[in-house]
Amino acid sequence: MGDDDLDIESSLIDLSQIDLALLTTLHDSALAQSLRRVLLAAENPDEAIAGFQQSI
Amino acid sequence: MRASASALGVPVRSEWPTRSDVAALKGSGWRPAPIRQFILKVHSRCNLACDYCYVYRMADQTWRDRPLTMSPEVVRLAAERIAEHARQHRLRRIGLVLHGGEPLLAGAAFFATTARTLRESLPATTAVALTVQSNGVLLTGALLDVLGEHEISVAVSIDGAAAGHDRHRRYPNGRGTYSDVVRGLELLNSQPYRRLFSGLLCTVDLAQDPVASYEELLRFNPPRMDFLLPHGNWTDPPPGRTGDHAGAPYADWLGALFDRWYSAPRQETELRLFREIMHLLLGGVSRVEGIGLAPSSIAVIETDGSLEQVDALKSAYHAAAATGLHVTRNPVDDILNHPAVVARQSGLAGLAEKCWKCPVREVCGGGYYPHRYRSGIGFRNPSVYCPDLLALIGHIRARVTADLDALARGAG
Repeated sequence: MGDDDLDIESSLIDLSQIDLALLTTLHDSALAQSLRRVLLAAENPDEAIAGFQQSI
Repeated sequence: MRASASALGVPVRSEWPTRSDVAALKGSGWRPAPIRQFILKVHSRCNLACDYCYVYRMADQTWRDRPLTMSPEVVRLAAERIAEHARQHRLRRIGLVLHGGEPLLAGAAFFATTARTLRESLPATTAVALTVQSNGVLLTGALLDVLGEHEISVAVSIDGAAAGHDRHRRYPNGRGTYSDVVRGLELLNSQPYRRLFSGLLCTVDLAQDPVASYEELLRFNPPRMDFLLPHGNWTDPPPGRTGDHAGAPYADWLGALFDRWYSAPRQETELRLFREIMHLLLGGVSRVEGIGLAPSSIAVIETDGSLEQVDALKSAYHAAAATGLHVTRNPVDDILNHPAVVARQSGLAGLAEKCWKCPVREVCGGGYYPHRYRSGIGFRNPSVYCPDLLALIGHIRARVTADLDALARGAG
């Protein structure tokens, strides 16, 4: 890894064009739940603990 | 007192990662992350003989030398070590999974005393989620009453529809277990036990139809489900993967399942693999190991008190999960310096060079660590499922992007 690392295209999705107020139109779909989780994680970063679970 | 791995009968290997490899990883800015989930192997034997089991049917055979059940003394020592770790790292919550073998073979009284010991040892400031991971055939009302009394939730393994399930998950006499699992699940899903139902685990079987398997499992109304890739690696590939990168059968299977789940107007259950991939694609961090670059924070305590790595590593080679550590001698912090744990907490630096340049690296995270193994090299390889993970993540990304674009157009 080095500086050329910065040139690698990322597959992450840009959410900047999305008006998150539109979430109300998505009802209870999987996409709506994912977007709500992103919002929640942004508001409460301490709760976004990674790698917590192996088993359900 | 510290005993060396070799002195304890743990093989010393030269495959990646070795002690010298981790010196470089530590120099790359690694900081240890505390253990947040402990898998307690409370019973080392099973009443089933599933044909894909990593505990009994794959490379590792350490179960042969383990005591049948975790003794009260080992439970007490394990609880003290976990409590010590929770206090030291000021953990606000931890997960404790009572696992096996088949943990319910330990009996109701064991669960009552073990839950009491664990809860009494932990600091009041640490919330504990206690779960038992079971094959479901021993679930009874009397046992569920005890689990309920001690707030132990229950996750059950079931592999889709009857024929597919019974092809793999059988009793030692060859008889299928499906009807007994269904009986246990129906009991768990009824009142007053429903609140204990944690979820279902289903191992992917390419011979089964993914949508039919999912819809069959939906009838139990599970709060969440995990579809797990069968364990395998480059040396011992999983079914349907030849290791030559031709085709992506697991992506095809999981992609069809994703479309069924994602297209539902109301989310019928939580599918953790898809939920985490979507969250990672949207810039979040994963809550589960095996996907994403988040540091692994899971440790196993075996029935004899050995402190080990995730037991799916047993699919790679004999004693692959062993560390030489033991709750009588070692605090949990000692496992954070084990080479494989350092590697799994090093993010991108712990991946194969090929993965560094991959566009889905933040989402895939190199795939599940046990699936990266190649004999003679070790774990610094892409996952044996690399083509499947690449295709599946691309499929999910395309669906989500199309919907977000439509949403943006609708707003404009």
